[in-house]
Amino acid sequence: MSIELRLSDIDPPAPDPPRTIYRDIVNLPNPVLLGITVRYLNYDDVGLYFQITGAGTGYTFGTVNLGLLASGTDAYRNLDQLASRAKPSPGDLTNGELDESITLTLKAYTDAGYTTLKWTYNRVVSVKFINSADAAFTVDFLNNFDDGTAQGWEVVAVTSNTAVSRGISTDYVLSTPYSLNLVMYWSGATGATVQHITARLYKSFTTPNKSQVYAIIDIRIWRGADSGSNWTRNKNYTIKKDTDVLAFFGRPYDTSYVEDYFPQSKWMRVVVPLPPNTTLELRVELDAATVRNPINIISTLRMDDIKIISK
Amino acid sequence: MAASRRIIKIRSISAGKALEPPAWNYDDVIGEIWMLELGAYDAETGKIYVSDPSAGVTPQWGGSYDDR
Repeated sequence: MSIELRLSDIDPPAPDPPRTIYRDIVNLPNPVLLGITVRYLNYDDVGLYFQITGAGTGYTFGTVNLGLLASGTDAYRNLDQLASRAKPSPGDLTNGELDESITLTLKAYTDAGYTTLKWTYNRVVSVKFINSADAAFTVDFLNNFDDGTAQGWEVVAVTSNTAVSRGISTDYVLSTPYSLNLVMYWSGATGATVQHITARLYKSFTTPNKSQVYAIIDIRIWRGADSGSNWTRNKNYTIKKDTDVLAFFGRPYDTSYVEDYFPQSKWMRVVVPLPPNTTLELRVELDAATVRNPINIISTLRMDDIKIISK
Repeated sequence: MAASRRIIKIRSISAGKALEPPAWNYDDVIGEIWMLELGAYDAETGKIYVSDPSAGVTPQWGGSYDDR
Protein backbone atom coordinates (compact mmCIF):
# COMPACT_ATOMS: atom_id res chain seq x y z
CA MET A 1 0.00 0.00 0.00
CA SER A 2 1.23 3.47 -0.70
CA ILE A 3 0.14 6.85 0.48
CA GLU A 4 0.14 9.59 -2.07
CA LEU A 5 0.73 13.12 -0.93
CA ARG A 6 -0.40 15.95 -3.13
CA LEU A 7 -0.24 19.69 -2.91
CA SER A 8 -3.58 21.37 -2.62
CA ASP A 9 -5.11 22.47 -5.87
CA ILE A 10 -7.64 24.76 -4.28
CA ASP A 11 -7.83 28.20 -5.80
CA PRO A 12 -7.66 31.14 -3.46
CA PRO A 13 -10.88 33.07 -3.12
CA ALA A 14 -11.36 35.48 -5.96
CA PRO A 15 -9.79 38.73 -4.84
CA ASP A 16 -11.30 42.09 -5.48
CA PRO A 17 -11.35 43.20 -9.09
CA PRO A 18 -10.27 46.76 -9.74
CA ARG A 19 -12.89 49.45 -9.62
CA THR A 20 -12.95 52.83 -11.29
CA ILE A 21 -15.09 55.89 -10.81
CA TYR A 22 -15.40 57.96 -14.00
CA ARG A 23 -16.07 61.69 -13.72
CA ASP A 24 -16.42 64.37 -16.40
CA ILE A 25 -15.43 67.81 -15.09
CA VAL A 26 -17.41 69.84 -17.63
CA ASN A 27 -20.05 71.98 -15.88
CA LEU A 28 -19.54 70.34 -12.49
CA PRO A 29 -19.63 72.58 -9.40
CA ASN A 30 -16.56 73.44 -7.37
CA PRO A 31 -15.93 71.48 -5.21
CA VAL A 32 -17.04 68.35 -7.03
CA LEU A 33 -19.36 66.18 -4.93
CA LEU A 34 -19.21 62.42 -5.33
CA GLY A 35 -22.05 60.05 -4.56
CA ILE A 36 -21.86 56.27 -4.76
CA THR A 37 -24.09 53.27 -4.34
CA VAL A 38 -22.37 50.38 -2.61
CA ARG A 39 -23.36 46.84 -1.88
CA TYR A 40 -21.87 45.49 1.33
CA LEU A 41 -21.96 41.99 2.75
CA ASN A 42 -21.61 40.49 6.21
CA TYR A 43 -19.81 37.15 6.10
CA ASP A 44 -19.42 37.05 9.87
CA ASP A 45 -21.35 34.69 12.13
CA VAL A 46 -23.06 37.53 13.96
CA GLY A 47 -24.92 40.66 13.05
CA LEU A 48 -22.74 43.74 12.87
CA TYR A 49 -23.15 47.49 12.65
CA PHE A 50 -21.48 48.83 9.54
CA GLN A 51 -19.92 52.19 8.89
CA ILE A 52 -18.32 53.57 5.74
CA THR A 53 -15.92 56.38 5.14
CA GLY A 54 -12.95 57.04 2.91
CA ALA A 55 -9.73 58.92 2.29
CA GLY A 56 -7.79 60.36 -0.59
CA THR A 57 -5.35 63.14 -1.30
CA GLY A 58 -7.31 66.37 -1.61
CA TYR A 59 -10.59 64.69 -0.68
CA THR A 60 -12.91 65.25 2.27
CA PHE A 61 -15.04 62.23 3.15
CA GLY A 62 -18.11 61.95 5.30
CA THR A 63 -18.70 59.04 7.67
CA VAL A 64 -21.97 57.18 7.28
CA ASN A 65 -23.38 54.73 9.82
CA LEU A 66 -25.19 52.05 7.87
CA GLY A 67 -26.89 50.32 10.80
CA LEU A 68 -27.25 46.65 11.67
CA LEU A 69 -26.68 44.03 9.00
CA ALA A 70 -27.57 40.44 9.88
CA SER A 71 -25.06 37.61 9.49
CA GLY A 72 -24.86 36.23 5.98
CA THR A 73 -26.82 39.04 4.39
CA ASP A 74 -26.07 41.95 2.16
CA ALA A 75 -27.46 45.42 1.66
CA TYR A 76 -27.28 48.34 -0.72
CA ARG A 77 -26.99 51.98 0.19
CA ASN A 78 -26.68 55.13 -1.81
CA LEU A 79 -24.22 57.52 -0.18
CA ASP A 80 -25.02 60.98 -1.46
CA GLN A 81 -22.17 63.51 -1.40
CA LEU A 82 -19.90 61.02 0.35
CA ALA A 83 -16.77 62.83 -0.81
CA SER A 84 -15.83 66.30 -1.97
CA ARG A 85 -12.76 67.54 -3.74
CA ALA A 86 -11.65 70.80 -5.31
CA LYS A 87 -12.69 70.67 -8.92
CA PRO A 88 -9.71 69.90 -11.15
CA SER A 89 -9.06 72.61 -13.70
CA PRO A 90 -8.77 71.64 -17.36
CA GLY A 91 -5.03 72.29 -17.07
CA ASP A 92 -4.77 69.55 -14.43
CA LEU A 93 -5.84 66.98 -17.01
CA THR A 94 -3.31 65.77 -19.56
CA ASN A 95 -4.99 65.23 -22.91
CA GLY A 96 -8.28 65.39 -21.07
CA GLU A 97 -7.45 62.74 -18.46
CA LEU A 98 -6.42 62.65 -14.81
CA ASP A 99 -6.01 59.42 -12.83
CA GLU A 100 -5.95 59.23 -9.07
CA SER A 101 -7.14 56.89 -6.34
CA ILE A 102 -9.20 56.96 -3.19
CA THR A 103 -9.65 54.41 -0.43
CA LEU A 104 -13.09 53.38 0.79
CA THR A 105 -13.10 52.01 4.32
CA LEU A 106 -15.83 49.71 5.58
CA LYS A 107 -15.86 49.13 9.34
CA ALA A 108 -17.97 46.67 11.31
CA TYR A 109 -18.84 47.19 14.97
CA THR A 110 -20.51 44.85 17.43
CA ASP A 111 -22.56 47.57 19.10
CA ALA A 112 -25.12 50.13 18.02
CA GLY A 113 -22.99 52.90 19.51
CA TYR A 114 -20.18 52.16 17.03
CA THR A 115 -17.53 51.87 19.76
CA THR A 116 -16.39 48.24 19.61
CA LEU A 117 -14.66 47.75 16.26
CA LYS A 118 -14.44 44.19 14.95
CA TRP A 119 -13.44 44.52 11.32
CA THR A 120 -11.90 47.10 9.05
CA TYR A 121 -11.71 46.64 5.31
CA ASN A 122 -10.03 49.08 2.96
CA ARG A 123 -10.82 49.16 -0.72
CA VAL A 124 -8.70 51.12 -3.17
CA VAL A 125 -10.76 52.60 -5.99
CA SER A 126 -9.35 54.35 -9.04
CA VAL A 127 -10.81 57.68 -10.03
CA LYS A 128 -10.56 58.81 -13.63
CA PHE A 129 -11.40 62.41 -14.39
CA ILE A 130 -12.03 63.27 -18.01
CA ASN A 131 -12.69 66.59 -19.69
CA SER A 132 -15.22 65.92 -22.41
CA ALA A 133 -14.55 69.42 -23.80
CA ASP A 134 -10.85 68.71 -24.32
CA ALA A 135 -9.73 68.70 -27.92
CA ALA A 136 -8.39 65.18 -27.42
CA PHE A 137 -11.97 63.91 -27.23
CA THR A 138 -14.47 63.76 -30.04
CA VAL A 139 -18.14 64.30 -29.27
CA ASP A 140 -19.71 61.53 -31.32
CA PHE A 141 -23.29 62.04 -30.17
CA LEU A 142 -25.01 64.87 -28.35
CA ASN A 143 -28.70 64.69 -27.43
CA ASN A 144 -29.85 67.98 -25.90
CA PHE A 145 -33.47 67.83 -27.15
CA ASP A 146 -33.29 71.52 -27.92
CA ASP A 147 -34.81 70.98 -31.37
CA GLY A 148 -38.04 70.09 -29.61
CA THR A 149 -37.88 66.36 -30.31
CA ALA A 150 -36.92 63.26 -28.30
CA GLN A 151 -34.02 62.74 -30.74
CA GLY A 152 -34.60 59.02 -31.10
CA TRP A 153 -35.11 58.15 -27.44
CA GLU A 154 -38.02 55.79 -26.95
CA VAL A 155 -39.87 54.54 -23.88
CA VAL A 156 -41.32 51.20 -22.83
CA ALA A 157 -43.01 49.83 -19.72
CA VAL A 158 -40.83 47.12 -18.17
CA THR A 159 -43.37 45.82 -15.65
CA SER A 160 -46.92 45.12 -16.66
CA ASN A 161 -49.54 47.78 -16.02
CA THR A 162 -46.96 50.55 -15.86
CA ALA A 163 -48.30 53.50 -17.77
CA VAL A 164 -45.53 55.51 -19.40
CA SER A 165 -45.16 58.58 -21.50
CA ARG A 166 -42.17 60.27 -23.05
CA GLY A 167 -41.81 63.75 -24.37
CA ILE A 168 -39.88 66.94 -23.97
CA SER A 169 -40.18 69.43 -21.18
CA THR A 170 -39.16 72.95 -20.25
CA ASP A 171 -39.52 72.71 -16.47
CA TYR A 172 -36.04 71.40 -15.66
CA VAL A 173 -33.30 71.70 -18.26
CA LEU A 174 -29.53 71.93 -18.41
CA SER A 175 -29.50 73.48 -21.87
CA THR A 176 -32.47 75.57 -22.84
CA PRO A 177 -35.14 75.18 -23.93
CA TYR A 178 -35.84 71.44 -23.57
CA SER A 179 -34.98 68.23 -21.75
CA LEU A 180 -36.27 64.69 -22.25
CA ASN A 181 -39.21 63.88 -20.03
CA LEU A 182 -40.36 60.46 -18.72
CA VAL A 183 -43.50 60.02 -16.64
CA MET A 184 -44.67 56.69 -15.23
CA TYR A 185 -47.48 55.55 -12.95
CA TRP A 186 -49.61 52.54 -12.15
CA SER A 187 -52.16 51.84 -14.84
CA GLY A 188 -54.05 49.04 -13.11
CA ALA A 189 -57.12 49.05 -10.96
CA THR A 190 -57.35 51.28 -7.92
CA GLY A 191 -56.50 49.53 -4.66
CA ALA A 192 -54.45 49.59 -1.49
CA THR A 193 -51.90 46.99 -2.65
CA VAL A 194 -48.37 48.22 -3.34
CA GLN A 195 -47.54 48.00 -7.03
CA HIS A 196 -44.16 47.64 -8.74
CA ILE A 197 -43.69 49.99 -11.67
CA THR A 198 -40.67 50.22 -13.97
CA ALA A 199 -40.07 52.07 -17.22
CA ARG A 200 -37.16 52.35 -19.62
CA LEU A 201 -35.82 55.04 -21.89
CA TYR A 202 -33.61 53.64 -24.62
CA LYS A 203 -31.79 54.51 -27.82
CA SER A 204 -29.48 52.60 -30.14
CA PHE A 205 -25.97 53.90 -30.87
CA THR A 206 -23.00 52.65 -32.83
CA THR A 207 -19.85 53.59 -30.97
CA PRO A 208 -16.67 54.74 -32.75
CA ASN A 209 -13.73 52.43 -33.12
CA LYS A 210 -11.44 54.10 -30.60
CA SER A 211 -9.71 52.95 -27.45
CA GLN A 212 -11.84 54.99 -25.06
CA VAL A 213 -15.56 55.58 -25.39
CA TYR A 214 -17.74 57.07 -22.66
CA ALA A 215 -21.41 57.88 -22.23
CA ILE A 216 -22.10 60.97 -20.12
CA ILE A 217 -25.66 61.08 -18.80
CA ASP A 218 -27.20 63.90 -16.77
CA ILE A 219 -30.40 62.89 -15.02
CA ARG A 220 -32.95 64.31 -12.57
CA ILE A 221 -35.63 62.15 -10.92
CA TRP A 222 -38.44 62.79 -8.48
CA ARG A 223 -41.97 61.73 -7.67
CA GLY A 224 -45.18 63.38 -6.61
CA ALA A 225 -46.00 64.17 -3.00
CA ASP A 226 -48.15 61.85 -0.91
CA SER A 227 -51.87 62.47 -1.02
CA GLY A 228 -53.90 60.65 1.59
CA SER A 229 -53.22 56.95 1.20
CA ASN A 230 -51.69 57.47 -2.24
CA TRP A 231 -47.92 57.43 -2.49
CA THR A 232 -44.92 56.57 -4.67
CA ARG A 233 -41.32 55.88 -3.66
CA ASN A 234 -38.43 55.70 -6.10
CA LYS A 235 -36.30 52.61 -5.44
CA ASN A 236 -33.49 52.61 -7.99
CA TYR A 237 -32.38 53.59 -11.43
CA THR A 238 -29.95 51.75 -13.65
CA ILE A 239 -27.81 52.54 -16.65
CA LYS A 240 -27.58 49.58 -19.00
CA LYS A 241 -25.82 48.57 -22.17
CA ASP A 242 -28.44 46.29 -23.69
CA THR A 243 -29.19 43.99 -20.75
CA ASP A 244 -25.88 44.58 -18.95
CA VAL A 245 -26.08 46.72 -15.84
CA LEU A 246 -23.32 49.32 -15.99
CA ALA A 247 -24.38 51.35 -12.98
CA PHE A 248 -27.06 50.90 -10.30
CA PHE A 249 -28.25 53.54 -7.87
CA GLY A 250 -30.46 53.02 -4.84
CA ARG A 251 -31.63 49.66 -3.52
CA PRO A 252 -33.46 46.69 -5.04
CA TYR A 253 -37.23 46.95 -5.21
CA ASP A 254 -39.26 46.54 -2.02
CA THR A 255 -42.70 47.69 -0.86
CA SER A 256 -41.54 50.07 1.86
CA TYR A 257 -42.93 53.61 1.82
CA VAL A 258 -40.45 55.01 4.36
CA GLU A 259 -38.10 56.75 1.95
CA ASP A 260 -36.77 57.07 -1.59
CA TYR A 261 -33.51 55.21 -2.05
CA PHE A 262 -31.54 57.77 -4.05
CA PRO A 263 -31.51 61.58 -4.16
CA GLN A 264 -34.62 63.23 -5.52
CA SER A 265 -35.01 66.48 -7.42
CA LYS A 266 -31.40 67.18 -8.26
CA TRP A 267 -29.31 66.73 -11.36
CA MET A 268 -26.81 63.88 -11.19
CA ARG A 269 -24.13 63.00 -13.72
CA VAL A 270 -23.23 59.40 -14.47
CA VAL A 271 -20.26 58.47 -16.67
CA VAL A 272 -19.95 54.91 -17.96
CA PRO A 273 -17.48 53.32 -20.35
CA LEU A 274 -18.77 51.78 -23.57
CA PRO A 275 -17.20 49.23 -25.90
CA PRO A 276 -15.75 50.58 -29.15
CA ASN A 277 -17.11 49.85 -32.61
CA THR A 278 -20.30 48.32 -31.29
CA THR A 279 -23.97 48.84 -31.95
CA LEU A 280 -25.63 48.89 -28.57
CA GLU A 281 -28.77 50.06 -26.86
CA LEU A 282 -28.22 52.57 -24.09
CA ARG A 283 -30.93 52.18 -21.47
CA VAL A 284 -32.00 54.18 -18.44
CA GLU A 285 -34.49 52.39 -16.20
CA LEU A 286 -36.48 53.77 -13.29
CA ASP A 287 -37.97 51.47 -10.64
CA ALA A 288 -40.57 52.49 -8.07
CA ALA A 289 -43.29 51.31 -5.70
CA THR A 290 -46.69 52.98 -5.74
CA VAL A 291 -50.16 52.84 -4.25
CA ARG A 292 -53.04 54.37 -6.19
CA ASN A 293 -56.08 54.59 -3.98
CA PRO A 294 -57.50 56.25 -6.01
CA ILE A 295 -55.05 58.99 -7.03
CA ASN A 296 -52.01 58.30 -9.23
CA ILE A 297 -48.76 59.68 -7.79
CA ILE A 298 -46.34 59.86 -10.69
CA SER A 299 -42.64 59.11 -10.83
CA THR A 300 -40.79 61.22 -13.34
CA LEU A 301 -37.37 61.65 -14.88
CA ARG A 302 -35.57 64.29 -16.92
CA MET A 303 -32.42 63.79 -19.01
CA ASP A 304 -30.46 66.43 -20.85
CA ASP A 305 -27.17 66.93 -22.70
CA ILE A 306 -26.45 63.22 -23.12
CA LYS A 307 -23.08 62.73 -24.78
CA ILE A 308 -21.02 59.90 -26.17
CA ILE A 309 -17.39 60.89 -26.49
CA SER A 310 -14.26 59.06 -27.58
CA LYS A 311 -10.52 59.41 -28.07
CA MET B 1 1.83 10.10 -14.67
CA ALA B 2 2.41 13.76 -14.13
CA ALA B 3 -0.33 15.65 -12.36
CA SER B 4 -2.09 18.11 -14.57
CA ARG B 5 -2.06 21.71 -13.55
CA ARG B 6 -5.12 23.83 -13.53
CA ILE B 7 -4.84 26.94 -15.62
CA ILE B 8 -5.88 29.73 -13.33
CA LYS B 9 -7.26 32.65 -15.23
CA ILE B 10 -5.79 35.31 -13.05
CA ARG B 11 -3.77 38.09 -14.48
CA SER B 12 -1.25 39.73 -12.24
CA ILE B 13 -1.16 43.47 -12.20
CA SER B 14 -0.16 45.97 -9.59
CA ALA B 15 -2.82 46.98 -7.11
CA GLY B 16 -4.39 50.25 -8.14
CA LYS B 17 -2.97 50.16 -11.64
CA ALA B 18 -5.39 51.52 -14.19
CA LEU B 19 -6.28 49.06 -16.90
CA GLU B 20 -5.78 50.15 -20.46
CA PRO B 21 -7.93 50.55 -22.32
CA PRO B 22 -10.42 51.10 -19.51
CA ALA B 23 -13.32 51.92 -21.73
CA TRP B 24 -14.55 48.40 -22.25
CA ASN B 25 -13.67 46.90 -18.89
CA TYR B 26 -17.08 46.63 -17.25
CA ASP B 27 -15.68 45.02 -14.13
CA ASP B 28 -13.89 48.29 -13.73
CA VAL B 29 -16.90 50.25 -12.58
CA ILE B 30 -17.50 50.96 -8.89
CA GLY B 31 -19.52 48.23 -7.28
CA GLU B 32 -19.35 45.90 -4.34
CA ILE B 33 -17.49 46.31 -1.11
CA TRP B 34 -17.38 43.45 1.32
CA MET B 35 -15.74 42.07 4.41
CA LEU B 36 -13.08 39.43 4.13
CA GLU B 37 -12.93 36.64 6.64
CA LEU B 38 -9.95 36.63 8.94
CA GLY B 39 -6.99 35.02 7.25
CA ALA B 40 -8.59 35.01 3.88
CA TYR B 41 -6.74 35.74 0.70
CA ASP B 42 -5.74 39.37 0.77
CA ALA B 43 -6.49 41.21 -2.42
CA GLU B 44 -4.33 44.15 -1.48
CA THR B 45 -1.17 42.07 -1.53
CA GLY B 46 -2.20 39.44 -4.02
CA LYS B 47 -3.41 39.29 -7.54
CA ILE B 48 -6.33 40.96 -9.17
CA TYR B 49 -8.78 39.04 -11.24
CA VAL B 50 -9.60 40.67 -14.53
CA SER B 51 -12.67 39.43 -16.32
CA ASP B 52 -12.81 39.11 -20.04
CA PRO B 53 -15.46 41.51 -21.29
CA SER B 54 -15.88 39.54 -24.47
CA ALA B 55 -16.90 36.50 -22.46
CA GLY B 56 -19.94 38.17 -20.99
CA VAL B 57 -20.34 40.96 -18.55
CA THR B 58 -20.72 40.65 -14.82
CA PRO B 59 -23.41 43.06 -13.69
CA GLN B 60 -22.12 45.57 -11.23
CA TRP B 61 -24.61 46.42 -8.56
CA GLY B 62 -23.35 49.83 -7.68
CA GLY B 63 -22.28 53.02 -9.29
CA SER B 64 -21.03 56.56 -8.86
CA TYR B 65 -22.33 59.97 -9.84
CA ASP B 66 -21.51 63.62 -9.43
CA ASP B 67 -23.73 66.44 -8.31
CA ARG B 68 -24.39 68.34 -11.46
